[in-house]
Amino acid sequence: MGSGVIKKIVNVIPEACTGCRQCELICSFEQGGSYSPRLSRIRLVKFEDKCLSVPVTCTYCERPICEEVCPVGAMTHDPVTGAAKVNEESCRGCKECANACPLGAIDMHPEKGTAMRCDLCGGDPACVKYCPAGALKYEPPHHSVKEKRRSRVVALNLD
Amino acid sequence: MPRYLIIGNGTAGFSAIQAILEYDSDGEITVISLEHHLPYSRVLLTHYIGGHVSKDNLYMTGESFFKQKKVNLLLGAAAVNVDPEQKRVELDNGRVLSYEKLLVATGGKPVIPQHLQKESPDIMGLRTIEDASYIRQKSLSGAKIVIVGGGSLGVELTCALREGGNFPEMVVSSSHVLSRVADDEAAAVIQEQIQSYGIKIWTGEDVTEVVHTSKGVEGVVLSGGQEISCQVVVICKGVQPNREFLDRVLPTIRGIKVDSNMRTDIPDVYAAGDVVEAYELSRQEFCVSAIWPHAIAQGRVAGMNMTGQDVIYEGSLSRNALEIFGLPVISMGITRVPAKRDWDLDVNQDKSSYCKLVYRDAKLVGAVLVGKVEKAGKLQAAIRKAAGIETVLN
Amino acid sequence: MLSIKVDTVKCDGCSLCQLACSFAHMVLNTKTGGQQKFPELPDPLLWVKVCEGEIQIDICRHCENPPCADACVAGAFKVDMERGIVEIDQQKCVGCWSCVMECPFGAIRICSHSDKECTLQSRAFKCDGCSMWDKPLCASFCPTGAVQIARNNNGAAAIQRRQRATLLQKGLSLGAARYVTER
Repeated sequence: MGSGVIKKIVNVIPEACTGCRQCELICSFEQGGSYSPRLSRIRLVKFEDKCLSVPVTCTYCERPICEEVCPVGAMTHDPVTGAAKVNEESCRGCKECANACPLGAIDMHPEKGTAMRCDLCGGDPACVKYCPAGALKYEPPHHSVKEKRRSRVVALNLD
Repeated sequence: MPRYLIIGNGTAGFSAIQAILEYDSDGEITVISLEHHLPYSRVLLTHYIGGHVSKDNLYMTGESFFKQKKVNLLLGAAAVNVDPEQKRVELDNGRVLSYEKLLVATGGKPVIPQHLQKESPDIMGLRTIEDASYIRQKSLSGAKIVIVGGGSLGVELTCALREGGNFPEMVVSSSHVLSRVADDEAAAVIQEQIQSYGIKIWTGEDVTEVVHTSKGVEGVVLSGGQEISCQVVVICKGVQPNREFLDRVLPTIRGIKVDSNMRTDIPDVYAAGDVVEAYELSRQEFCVSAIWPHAIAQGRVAGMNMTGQDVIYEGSLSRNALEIFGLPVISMGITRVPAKRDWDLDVNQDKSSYCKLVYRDAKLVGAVLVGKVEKAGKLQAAIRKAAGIETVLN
Repeated sequence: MLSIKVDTVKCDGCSLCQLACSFAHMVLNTKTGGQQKFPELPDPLLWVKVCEGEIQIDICRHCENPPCADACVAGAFKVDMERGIVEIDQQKCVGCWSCVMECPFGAIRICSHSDKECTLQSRAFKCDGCSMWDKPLCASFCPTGAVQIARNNNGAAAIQRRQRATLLQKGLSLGAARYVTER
């Protein structure tokens, strides 16, 4: 298995994040019909002492451990788009996926009890659109790494 | 006009009610029940016959549930026709009810072979509380009972009667009991266990005639010519879906076919439970699989989708768990393989247990466990994972 | 609901968890007939075993939508949201084995004690979440952290998120190459 098909994911640029929580609000609205950060698939972690905020969401691992640990095969991805899928009927809320995700990107729905994972909004992620600080980008997975290398080289002023 | 109309007050119907209430708490629900009973657990009927469960404990809920949740329960009514154009259901008492969403959860009725269909209360199936009460009463009065059919219900009833002190006899047309689920090796162990408790099992035999006078049933005649004297004959030859009332709008040979959302071919009409033909994961085909966990899951999926959700049914997996005088037997998926060369079997047998795993194309598709059955749940999960959700959707 | 995190890689099979569980559920017998009776250790409610070289820890996950509860034909399962546990009403259980057949973690057993006085005779039993204790004892006693239990399921994911976020923001404070963004 593996999300080899995935073309773009939601990349996080933590230094740009202002902690406004628009991403949480719009995600919970799109997914759950109400403005409720607890239902959001992108969650903010705040470091009050450093005045920093970091959004955390699914990074679409090549070997998704959440899919491996699910005992009933409820956590899968679309074979064509690679987008995450949770079968609401098969998911029993055992929390194996939530516990296994090293990023904490999966949480359980407080009412339904099923797993919640970013599904990229069908290819047009709402959080990216609504982030006023440009801290979220919908781009190929390793894009920001290449960009970082590039900007580092540029900064060296070699020419 | 009721938003939700449910025909059937059994396990699937009750599961659907709970799902609808969860997702549409204001929804108006009306339930039509053929039986004059609150929803009860049919699987517990044999336990009631055996004296382990009281009649009161058979019910899944009380009257107060329906009152509090404002669910309209019509007892003792049968649906005789459905008009999909007008979105109306006709009852046998002449009443006509309209619906926005309809769920058919009418369950099944015992299969009684033609030649055994006699006008006698002592030749019967086992499906309702009335059936169970009658059998229990007869058993306690010392009547001799013959059970026709070696499937899981027949075996459970036999054990229940024996535990209650009665010594029934079994007449099984296959070469051994549980022929649909157990293979020859497991069946041998199971049959020995039953017989060790003093139960006579006639295999490879059918009941050709019931000897029946004005005084009641006197005995049965087997295909091999033997006569067994008895006072009660219980036919446990499976159930057939209750769907004749839909013949005009949904003609079908077996059950009502549903898609992965529990929808029938008629818009806004869903079906769930024993009446349904749903996709079975191990056989990879649509079939009737009338077991409790399917009724619960299908009822819930249908209920959720009736409220506007879009939930996919995880797919049926035929399975069965029973205990024969302390010996547990669990079977799931494909357990009997047509030609051994196309399948991989992994058999593990020792003094106290038997375990057979069936693989097709290196994927686990079935298992039979006798004695040590603790890993049954993990095996079921493995079968489901191997089958994959894509097979349900395609 | 309780959140049970099981890491079989960390488990070294010491089975302290099983022992702790037995102790947690021990009923202290008082003096009977003038003689101090040594309390009997009950069977543990979780099982650690090695199966084909692989360690398995069979413990109830107290699922939010437990398949065992659905499977129960006698209505013996209760999902207690307040205490965050799934529990079995032994009075209602008829020992039909359906829950054993459904649990993907193999977390339920049926008592097969030949001792007819055993109250659990022919009834299903499993982890009860140690509600009478502050924290489930198996997790408290586990020396390697192979079993970790939080009393609400918000615990695990939030902790992991904070760890991940800490890593990400550490990169910032160390002055790593900055990615200048344009809105």
